[in-house]
Amino acid sequence: MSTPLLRVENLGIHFGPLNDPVKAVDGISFGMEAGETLAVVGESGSGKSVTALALTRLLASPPARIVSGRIEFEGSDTLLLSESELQALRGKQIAYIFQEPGSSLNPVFTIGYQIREAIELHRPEVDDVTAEIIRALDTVGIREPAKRLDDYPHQLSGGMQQRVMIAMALACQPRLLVADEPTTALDVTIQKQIMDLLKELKRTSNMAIMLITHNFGLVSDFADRVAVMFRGRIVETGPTAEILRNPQHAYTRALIDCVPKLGQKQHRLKVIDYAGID
Amino acid sequence: MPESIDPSSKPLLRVEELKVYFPILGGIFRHKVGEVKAVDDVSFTVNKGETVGLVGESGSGKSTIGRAIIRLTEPTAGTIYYGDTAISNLQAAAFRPYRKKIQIIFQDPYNSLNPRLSIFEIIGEALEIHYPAMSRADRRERVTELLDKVGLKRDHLDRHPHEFSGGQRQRIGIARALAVNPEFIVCDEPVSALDVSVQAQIVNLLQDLQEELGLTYLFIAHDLAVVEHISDFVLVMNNGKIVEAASAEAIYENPQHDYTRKLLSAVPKL
Repeated sequence: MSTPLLRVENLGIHFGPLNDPVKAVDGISFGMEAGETLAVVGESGSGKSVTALALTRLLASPPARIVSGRIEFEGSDTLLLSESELQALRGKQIAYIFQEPGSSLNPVFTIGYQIREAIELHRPEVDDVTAEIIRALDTVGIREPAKRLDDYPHQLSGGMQQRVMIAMALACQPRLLVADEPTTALDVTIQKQIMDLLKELKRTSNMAIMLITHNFGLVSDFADRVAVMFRGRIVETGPTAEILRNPQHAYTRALIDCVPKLGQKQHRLKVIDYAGID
Repeated sequence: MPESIDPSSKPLLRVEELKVYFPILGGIFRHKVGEVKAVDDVSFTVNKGETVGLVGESGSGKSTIGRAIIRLTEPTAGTIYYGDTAISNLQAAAFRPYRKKIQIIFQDPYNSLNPRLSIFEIIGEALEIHYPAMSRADRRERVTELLDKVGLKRDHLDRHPHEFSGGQRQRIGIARALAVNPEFIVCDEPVSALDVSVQAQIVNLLQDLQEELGLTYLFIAHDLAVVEHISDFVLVMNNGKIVEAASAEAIYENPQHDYTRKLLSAVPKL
């Protein structure tokens, strides 16, 4: 059996005072194979983003403390890597896109410059960097990419900014793309375009994608597997179709039910009964 | 103009041929070189006690309509009637009573609450302006009552916005809108920034309050699934114009316009 791309074991991350910590991540374990898509679904505060940031030790410490566990990426424990080894891992092996593309891009540099920076840092072997930038922008569906190189982020819409972020991530040919709520700040129509783009990337590349979302509506025709997080724990995990069809945990069921469905007018929307879950 | 669903109910708000154009300035002297037609000849009515949904993408002009109704934006042409009064032409002083009747809830619960004020001050401010005779003790009593109505606690009164989650902040925004006993509330994307689980709580709260207080809503959003759920009647906007107007059921079952179909297909399917 081949080694998995990512293996997280008994990961625990605490914030706040030592004697009374907030257990943001409370002993979770999961894995990802190369090329696999995993959706981590949970509400704000469930620990899903903290988990994602911990993969490359992007959490500021203090206040965060990794108190237990291992994070193995291609066989080596990222928790033991030196700062320079981490630099090589971030972006090159594991790339991120975040919720607000507007605040992820640097407003004073052109998008061409920002993608160039990433390529020159992580892929020094590339001779024609400009051609590589244009190819990356083309892959994410930006029309006439050669003309957009000198655009500043503010000249692009939110959807286009997110495409630029994805292009920047792809330009380094990472093994794992972590998409942390990539469509939450966008209109539903733009959300569909970005999700269609991620689906296309999943089909055409061998990159693994971890999609972090609060919306079960996004996972059904995207993720191979789903992990549901609730209060720092993974309460349920399994193949997407199975979880959607037959959720085992009360929280998973509630999270699926609260998504408004077209054409099924209800008197009131279903809400999560937290008291009933514990 | 769209027909009302229930012909017996009276229109509370009537928007007639509303146009809002923004000038594009250029040249050294910043003269007008063109204009953006944010709202371009839009007419609709909202009946008392009903919810009309206004759906469209960013830039379609839907928020501009909401802002024109509460006069945060001046219309270029057209008239807005509240009951039988043309409120879009009133002088500021004559419009003041309508500021009490018409309230707004904003999208971003993080930026729409003053971080330096306590919850009591945020909600009580409206009471100070519209009910100057009210004593401080009475104001505290009223704000406590409002917090209870929106599902918050009495001991939240003296806390500040940063101590609350996004959903709780949206509840504070709703309590602030309710403080002056409004009849009509413009809900400008009130759930777009929230988790789906919190979205369900806030939508249900708005529906409960409508039932209890007989409120009338203009509900602005980009997600047709939410709009279909909460609305009696739906207006679909694209490029400053209403491209389709129909009952919530008809919009879903029998969309007439390509743009409506595009919005329907963008809704995530489970």
